[in-house]
Amino acid sequence: MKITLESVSFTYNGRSVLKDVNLEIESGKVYLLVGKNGSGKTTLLKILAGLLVSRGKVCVNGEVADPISLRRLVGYVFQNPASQIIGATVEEDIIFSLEMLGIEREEMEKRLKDALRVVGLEGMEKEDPLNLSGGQKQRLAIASVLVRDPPFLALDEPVSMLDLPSQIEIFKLLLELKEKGKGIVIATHELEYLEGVDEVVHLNDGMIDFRGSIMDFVAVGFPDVEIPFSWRILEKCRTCSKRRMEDAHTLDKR
Amino acid sequence: MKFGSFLVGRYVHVESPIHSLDPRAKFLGTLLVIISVLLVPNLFFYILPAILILSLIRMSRIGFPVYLTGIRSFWFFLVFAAVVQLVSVRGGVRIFSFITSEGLLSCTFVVLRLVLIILAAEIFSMTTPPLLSARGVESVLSLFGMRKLSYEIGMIMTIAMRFVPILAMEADRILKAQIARGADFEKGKLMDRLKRLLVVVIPLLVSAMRKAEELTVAMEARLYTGEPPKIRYRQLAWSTKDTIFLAFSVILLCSILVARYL
Repeated sequence: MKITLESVSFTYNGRSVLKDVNLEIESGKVYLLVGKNGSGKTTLLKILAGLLVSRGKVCVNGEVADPISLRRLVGYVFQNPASQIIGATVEEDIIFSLEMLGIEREEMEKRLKDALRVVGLEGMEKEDPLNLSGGQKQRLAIASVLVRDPPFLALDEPVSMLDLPSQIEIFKLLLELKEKGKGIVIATHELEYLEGVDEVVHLNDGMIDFRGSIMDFVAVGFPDVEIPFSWRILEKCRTCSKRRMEDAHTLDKR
Repeated sequence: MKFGSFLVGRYVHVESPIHSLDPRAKFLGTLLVIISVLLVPNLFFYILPAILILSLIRMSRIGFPVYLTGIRSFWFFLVFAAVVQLVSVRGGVRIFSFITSEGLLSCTFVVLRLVLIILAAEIFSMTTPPLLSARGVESVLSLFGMRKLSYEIGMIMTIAMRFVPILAMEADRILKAQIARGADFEKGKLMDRLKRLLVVVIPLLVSAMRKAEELTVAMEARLYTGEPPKIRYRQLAWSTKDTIFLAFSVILLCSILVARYL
C-alpha cells in the first residue's frame, strides 16, 4: 500500500506552511520527518492523516483519497498527548475509536488488552487519564492509535515526554510494527535510535529539501538538526572505509 | 484561591454499590431526587431526601469531604441566594437589623434545597464515568425516539463534563502563572480584585477555545463522525439493585407529593 502526496500546499492565516510538497509513503517502511520548529512537520502529518485539507492531491495506491478514508488508514498521535484524551478512563479512551469502527466486543477486549500490554499500561484501565504522568499520557495516546491497527502511523514527537528506557521501548515497538508491514512517519528531534529508519525527510520552510538514507543525511548535515555523536562516528567510519576502498582500487589500477 | 478543587463533574473511581448501578437508573433516580427536593413543602420534609442522599453518599464510599469540596465551589452562588432571601423575605419576628425570622427560615430553606441538589448531582457525576453517564442520558432520551439526536446530546454532555476539571486545572495554572508574574488577587477591594481577575479569565477563554478545537481534531482522528456506534464495549445491564434504587427514588417523590398536596 502507498500514500502519495502530490503538489501539496497548505496556507494558514495567509502564511504558506507547506509549498508544493511531493512525498511517497510505503507500507513496511519508517520515515523520519525532521526540520526546525515551524517548518511544517505537524501540518504535513495532519494532511497525511486526513485531519487537514490541503491544495494538491493525496492519493492511496494511485487514487485520490478523501479525508475520512485517510483517517481510517492513518493513525495519528498528537504532539501533546493530553490533547487527544477523550475518555474518562484509560479503557474508555482506548476503546473510543474501536466503537467508531464497529468492531465486535470480544475483539475490542482482545485489542484493548494487547494495546495496554504493548505500551506498559496494564492494570491502569480504570485510571483517569488526567491523573497520568506526561509519559503515561504519551503511552496512552500511542495505545489509542495502535488499538485501531491502521496500516499507517503518523506520530508527532511520540517520545518527547518519555524517559530514556521508555524511548528505546517505543522505538523498538515501532520497528516491530514496521516488520509487520506498517508504514510509519515520525516527526521527531530524538535521533538516537534510528537504526531501522528507511528514509529521512528534511523540511525547510514548508519545502522538502532532502530525502534519503540516514547516512546520507548525516553526511550532508543540516544546522537545524542535531546529529547524535554515535551517528557522526558511524558516518565517519563509512566515509573512511569508502575512501580506503577507493584508494585500494586506485592502487590496484596502478 | 484555587480552581483545581472544582470537582463537580469529575468521576472518582472506587468500588462501591453506587458506582456499579446502571447509569440509566442513576440518571432517572437523580432526576426524581432533584424533583423531590424542589417539591419539598417545608423545612421538616427535607429530612426525607436528606436521608436518602446521605445514605447514597455513604454507600458511594467517596469521603464526604470530597463532596464538600464540590459544594465549596458553589459558595458564591449559595451566599448570594442566602443574602437575597434574607433581604427580600420579611415577616415574623425581627432578629437583627433587617433579618427577620421568616427571612432566616426562607434562607435556610433555599440554601438546603441548593445543597441537596448539588449533592444529588455530585453523587451522579462522581460515581458514573462521563462516557457511561452520557450513555445513561442517551439511553433514557432514546426511549423517546431520535437515536442520533440522543447520541449527540450524550456526547455533548460527555465533552462538557470532561471539560469542567480540565478548565479548572487550566484556570489554576494560569492563576499561578499570573501570581508568579506579580499579580495579587488577595488584596484590595472586591471590585478591584474582580477586575484583576480579567488577566486569568481572558487567557482561560482563549485556552478553552484552543482546547475545544484540539479536541474536535482528536475526535475526528479517532473516526468520530456523529453517527452512534453500532456496537458498544460496555453493555448497559439493568439489575435488581437498579430497580431497588429507582424504587427508593419513586417512593421519595411519592412521599413528598403526598406531603405537599394532601
